[in-house]
Amino acid sequence: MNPPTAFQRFLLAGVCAISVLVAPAWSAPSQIIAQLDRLGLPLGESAQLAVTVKDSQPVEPNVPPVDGLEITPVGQQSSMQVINGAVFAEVRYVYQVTPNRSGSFTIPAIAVPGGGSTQPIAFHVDKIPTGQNSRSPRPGGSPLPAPSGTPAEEEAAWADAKGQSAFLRVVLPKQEITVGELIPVEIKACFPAGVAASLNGLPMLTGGAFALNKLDDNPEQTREVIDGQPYNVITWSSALSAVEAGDYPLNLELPVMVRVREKSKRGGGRNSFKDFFGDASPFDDSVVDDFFDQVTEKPLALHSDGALLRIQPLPVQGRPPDFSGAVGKFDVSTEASVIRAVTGDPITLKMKITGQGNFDRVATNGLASSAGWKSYKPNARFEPADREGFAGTKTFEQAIVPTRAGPSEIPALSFSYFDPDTRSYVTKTTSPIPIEIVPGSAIASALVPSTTPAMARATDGLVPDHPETGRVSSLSPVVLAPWFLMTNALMAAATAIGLLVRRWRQLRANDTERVRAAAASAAVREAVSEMDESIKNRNSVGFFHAARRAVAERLAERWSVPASRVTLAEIQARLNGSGENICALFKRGDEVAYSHEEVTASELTQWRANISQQLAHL
Amino acid sequence: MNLPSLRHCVAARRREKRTTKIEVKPVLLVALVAGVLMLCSAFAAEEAAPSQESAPALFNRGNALVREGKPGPAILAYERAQELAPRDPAIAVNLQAVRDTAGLAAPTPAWWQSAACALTMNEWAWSGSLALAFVCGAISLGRLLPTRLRQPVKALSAVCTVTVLISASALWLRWPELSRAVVLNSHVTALIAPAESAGPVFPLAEGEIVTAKKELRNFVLVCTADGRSGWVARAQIERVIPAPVPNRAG
Repeated sequence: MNPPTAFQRFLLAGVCAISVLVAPAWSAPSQIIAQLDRLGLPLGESAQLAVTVKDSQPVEPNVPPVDGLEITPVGQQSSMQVINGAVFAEVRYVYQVTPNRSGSFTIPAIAVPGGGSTQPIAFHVDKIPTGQNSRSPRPGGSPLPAPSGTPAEEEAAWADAKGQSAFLRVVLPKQEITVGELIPVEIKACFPAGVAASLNGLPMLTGGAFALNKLDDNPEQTREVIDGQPYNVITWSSALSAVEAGDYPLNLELPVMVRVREKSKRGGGRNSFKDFFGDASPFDDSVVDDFFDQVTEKPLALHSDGALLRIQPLPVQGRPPDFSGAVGKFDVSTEASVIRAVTGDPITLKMKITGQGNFDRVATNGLASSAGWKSYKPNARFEPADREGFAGTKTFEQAIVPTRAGPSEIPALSFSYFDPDTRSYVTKTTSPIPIEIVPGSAIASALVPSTTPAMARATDGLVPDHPETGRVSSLSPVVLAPWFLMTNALMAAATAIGLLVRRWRQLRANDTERVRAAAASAAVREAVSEMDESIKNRNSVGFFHAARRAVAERLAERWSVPASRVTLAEIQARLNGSGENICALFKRGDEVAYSHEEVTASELTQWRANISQQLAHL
Repeated sequence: MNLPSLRHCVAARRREKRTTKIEVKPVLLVALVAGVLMLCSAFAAEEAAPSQESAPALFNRGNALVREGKPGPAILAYERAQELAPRDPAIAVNLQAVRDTAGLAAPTPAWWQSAACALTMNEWAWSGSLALAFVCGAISLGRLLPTRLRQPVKALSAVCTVTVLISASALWLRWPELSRAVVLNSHVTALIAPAESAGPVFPLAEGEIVTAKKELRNFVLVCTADGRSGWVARAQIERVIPAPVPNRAG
């Protein structure tokens, strides 16, 4: 078989590469996920069904009809990712699910053509709780919404004589906004004049498609005439933003505490005073009836009318690369802290973005590091121009360091945002700032006094920053490190112990008594060893010679005399007749030495035991 | 056997034993391994040590803090930079400049303290440690050296012993520096007791150098350069050396 040619190898490599790139798209089936934002809801309210389809080419899912449910598409949101060359798109289809009756419902599996399907979703719809009104407009199409959330009886009880009730109204500048756009909003809680009510909290959103800025704890209180009726109006001013594209109702809820006057039993039956006094009774007066009524506090919730808002998505086409999500109308300007600087000395570059919009998404990377500039991450500071934080100025302060001398300019900076009015992206660019950069040493000679070290100083009197960060080391000195202390202590202790041991050995070596005793013991051991050797060799002369030497060494040590001076006469003189065995040994030794007598082994062994006993006693 | 001959015999036997038991090469090998281990542990401890900083970074931070109008933290940054690079004139110049601007007097050490400042604490510690190691090695292994080298080694050991004593003295003199702290905020008042409700004793200027004597709960007993003592909140001062410093006495 011939080896593959270069062209064949190239073809094979190309096929493999294409397979690797395309395989994920082929192999990955369509993923579909369905989520219902609430699994239990009262009749009259709607839930949001989100169906997310992940595929290279997503198609709209088929949502099967369900008896008793109205499933209406309200919008879709798409995103796209490119991973390792494969394109992954994700589309989120949003439906509004409105039940027509109470009971348990199951949304069956939702499938996409040629793809997977979702799990069925079961949820429950409760009847309207007793005392809860539907949020549908009142019959007659009154511009004022019904005081939803108030029990019918209590509504009648705390409504004023003309039938007006409290309500919550949301005032928006427009009904169509863009995702991320911040719009001012006024939330008005209107209470009929004369109705005793107190707030039990702040208005809050009940849907997930919007975000509301922080509300003021001290709202504005005014008195207004609405439809010819006086109202006490509490107004919160804030800003609202949309987080999802689609058509969503704006639902707000305000918990309040209402003082309800309950009719007394007297008021419920006949007026006995009236019965007694007839029509001309002086007690036929509401004041008298009110006197006997009981006043109780009831917690209630006011709901807004749920006006439908259309939320437009941010267009993908034409989106600038530096777009950070800012939506609104902005102006951009830059300024530098100095117009003449020294190389290596930091300059503060300020970028001011002024206007109206979602300032929390206003961001910039500032000036990027380049050949002539070294830059650091900018810091942001926002100064709102209104209470809602809708308008204001966001300032980015960035430290930049010129690295090259000569006439130069700080490059222009750009900022991109989305204008919701024109529905287009806008990129605003600042003008370059001319600046003169001089070498550090040029200013140094003029600024440094003669008494200080010859060193370049900046205009603020400080020596400029070091360009290099240098080696990192610990601030804590090494003398505090346990390992250092331990090592040195061990070293010193070991040396001290060694010196002590050496001194002790020297003392022992200089002890003459101990040295003599040791030498005598060594000589005795050597002589005894010779004795044993002589017994083994049947050497009688050698045995007695060694025996005499062993005894003489031991006696010499005892008497502190040289061993040569230990003779039979000396022994007899010193032991004074008590050393008979020793004397007998010496005599027997002399006999054997002079006669060369062969002594039997048993006798030698007996002498060996005798001598050992004597040596032990000495 | 007479006594002189006995001594000679025993000494000869002892010499014989010593030369047979102690081998020069293993001893040197053990010393080499011990030295390598010591260096490795030193580097490992250096890497793992907290509060790792670099002098130029601290210097640049001090400059930035001066420009932000924070002389206290700036002086702290310069002091720390000076601990790491005591011979950098730029740090001394800027430290003096910010002290002049803040109206603070630079500390004036006595002559013996100035002499002790000739080297950094780390340099004193290392020189003393190396000198101690030489002395210990000379004592332990001196008998293994050739006779002609013993006298120079003895002289060098004497010099090293003096070095050890000088290093220990310098470290002892500079030990209070480890307790130095910088007043970070303006309008700091030293209190008579470690309690919020305690009466004021004297005010402290931002950037002033004090000595932290004792810590109790959230308060630190500080001593100023002129000898006044009082308690200040822990958050109002910061030690130049962040690590806790044991007392010199023990």
